[in-house]
Amino acid sequence: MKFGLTTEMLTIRTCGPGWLMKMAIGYWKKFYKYVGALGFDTIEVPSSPFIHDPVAWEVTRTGMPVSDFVINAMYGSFEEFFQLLKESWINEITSVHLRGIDAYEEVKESYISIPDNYLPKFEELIDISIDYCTQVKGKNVIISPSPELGIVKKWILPEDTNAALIKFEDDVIDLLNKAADKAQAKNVTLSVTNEFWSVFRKEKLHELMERLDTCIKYAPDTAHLYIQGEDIVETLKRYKDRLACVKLNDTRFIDVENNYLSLHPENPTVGKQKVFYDMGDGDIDFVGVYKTLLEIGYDDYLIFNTEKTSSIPDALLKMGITRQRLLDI
Amino acid sequence: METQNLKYSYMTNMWGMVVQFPKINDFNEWYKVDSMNNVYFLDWEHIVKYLVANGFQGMELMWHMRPWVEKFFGHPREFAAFVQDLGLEKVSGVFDIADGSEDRSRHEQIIHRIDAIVDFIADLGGEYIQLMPASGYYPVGPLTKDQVRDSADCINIIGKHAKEKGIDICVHTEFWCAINKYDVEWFVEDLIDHDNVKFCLDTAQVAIMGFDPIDLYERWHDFIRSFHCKDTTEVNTPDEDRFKAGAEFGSGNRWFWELGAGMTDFTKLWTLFKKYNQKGWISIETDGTPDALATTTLTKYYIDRYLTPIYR
Repeated sequence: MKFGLTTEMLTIRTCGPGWLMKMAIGYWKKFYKYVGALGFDTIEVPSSPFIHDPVAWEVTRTGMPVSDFVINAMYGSFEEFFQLLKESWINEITSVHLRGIDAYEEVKESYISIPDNYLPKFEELIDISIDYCTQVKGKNVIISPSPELGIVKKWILPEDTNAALIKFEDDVIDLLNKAADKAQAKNVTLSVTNEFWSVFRKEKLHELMERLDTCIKYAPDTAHLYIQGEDIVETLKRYKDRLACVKLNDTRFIDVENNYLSLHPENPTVGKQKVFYDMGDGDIDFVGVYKTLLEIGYDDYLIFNTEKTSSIPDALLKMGITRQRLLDI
Repeated sequence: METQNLKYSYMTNMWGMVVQFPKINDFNEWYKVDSMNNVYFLDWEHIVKYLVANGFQGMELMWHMRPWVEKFFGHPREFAAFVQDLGLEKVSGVFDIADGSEDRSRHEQIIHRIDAIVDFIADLGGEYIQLMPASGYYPVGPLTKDQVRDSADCINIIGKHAKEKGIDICVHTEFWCAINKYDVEWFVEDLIDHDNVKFCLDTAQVAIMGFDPIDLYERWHDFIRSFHCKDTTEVNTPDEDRFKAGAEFGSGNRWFWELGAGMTDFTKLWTLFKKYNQKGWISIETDGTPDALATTTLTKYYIDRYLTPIYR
C-alpha cells in the first residue's frame, strides 16, 4: 500500500480569515513543504481546466495545480513544478481528480443550454483530465461522476422525472465506458467515487459498478460513505478487487435532514451544519478501515484528505498523527 | 442635523470566495472541536452584523456570489430583505469582470453574461456594477489599439443595456488588467460613452499603476460614479510586476492596506469631495488583508476620525 495526500484540502471555495493567502503561489510552496515534512511523498491534484465559472477563473491566478495553464503560468513549466515538489520531498503525483460539477458550472456560466451541453462538456473535462494526468506523470484519474443530485434534477435534466434521471445515468455510464478506452490507450486507470450527494449514491453505486467496464475502479471516500449511512468496511470488502486511491476523510455528520437532495448539500441550513471534520475529530474508525484494507490485500494508494478545515496546518498535523501514530505507517 | 452626502458601503470579497452559510445555527459545532475564531466568519448573518456595527449603510457582492445567493435565498430580493432586517440599507453594487472583451468574437457571450448580473443587482435593489473592463494582462497583453477599441465597444453596449434597467456600469481598472497604464486614460476619456458608462475610482489600483488618485478625481469627477477606497504602499509599480501571471497573488507583496496605512492622502480626496459636492456611495475594500474584520474596523475608524470631519 502506498500513501498520499490530496492537495484539494487546500481550497479557496471557502471563507474565513486568511483565505486569500491560500491563493498565493508562495503559500502553496510552503504547503508542499509541510506535506513532505509529514512524510507524504505522494500527492493527488485536482483537474479544473475551465474558466467561465468565476471561482474557477480565480483559481487560475493561484498556485493551485489544477491545469496545464496554471502549471506553466505559475510554476514556469512541468519540469520546474516537479523539481519544486522534489525539493519538498514529494516524489510522485499519483492521481488527478475531476468533478462533474465543474462541467456544469462551465456550461452554466457560458449561458448555453445546460441540458444540451452538460454531457459533452463532461466528456471534454474527462479528456482534458486524462491528458493532464499524463502530463503530471500520474496513473489514475478519479471521477466524481455527477454534480449534486439536487442540481442535476433542477438544472441539468430536461425535466425533473424519474425517466429523465435514468436516461442521465445511462448517458453518464456510456460516457465513462467510452472514456475508459481512451484512458487505457494512455496508460491511465479511471476510477469513480460517490459523494453522499451524488446521483450514484447508495444502491446506485452498485448499479453503476455493475454496468461500468471492469477496468474502471472504485475510489471510495470514507466520509462520504459514512454520511450516506453505508458500512465502510463492508463496502471495501465488496469491491476488494476493484479499489483504487481509497480516500481517508473524517466526519461525524449524519444526514437526517436529507441535505443530499438540496442545492447546497455540503452547506446545510437546517439542523447540524458541520459536514466534515479534521482527521481524528470525527467518528470514523480509521484503524478498522486500515485493517480491512490489509486483510483484503489492498495494494494501491491510500489518500489522506480533510475537507473544509478551519486551519490547514492543524489539519495537516492531525493527518500526520493518524498516519504515524494511530496507523503506524 | 448636518446633511450626509456620503454613504459607506463595503465590498465583501475579502470575507471569502464562498460564504458557507446564510446563518450558523450552533457555534459550538465548530468551536467545541477547534476553539478557533474561524466560525465567526462563516455566515452572512455575522458578516452583515459586523458591517452594521461598524457604521456601514451598504455592502457590495462579487459576481461569483450570485449562484450561492440564489441557492441559499432563492430570489435575490430575499437576500436584500435579509440584509435589511439586520440593519443595512441595501446591497449597493456588484463587482464583475468583462473577461475577454478585447476579443470581439466573445462579445455576445460576455454581454449576455453581464446582462444577467445587471438583472441580479437590479433584483437586489442595487445601483451599479464595478466592471473590470477586460481580461487580466497575463496572458493576453499587451493589447493592440484595435483590441482596446473592441473592449470599449463591448463595455459601451453593456452600459447601454444596464442603463435601461436603472443600473450604472462603472469601469474599474486593476493594476493587473489588460487595459493598463499606457491605455487607460485614452480608454476612459475618449473611448467609453460617458452617457452610459461611468468610472469607479479605485484609489489603490490606480496608484499602483502609476496614477495619482487625487489627480484622477480632479480630472474625471464628472463621470466618477463610485469608489473603491483602499490604501497602498506600492505606488507606481514596475510593469514586469504588474503584468506577470497571478500578479495580485504571485509576488508575496501585500498590495493593499487600510486607509491611512499607505501612501494615499485621503484627506485631500475628501477635500475635493467637498469642493465638488460629491454625493452617493463610497465603498471600502479590504483586499489582501489576513483579517477582514480588523481591516474593516480600522478603515472605518480612520474615516470617522479624519475624513468625515472634512466632508460628510
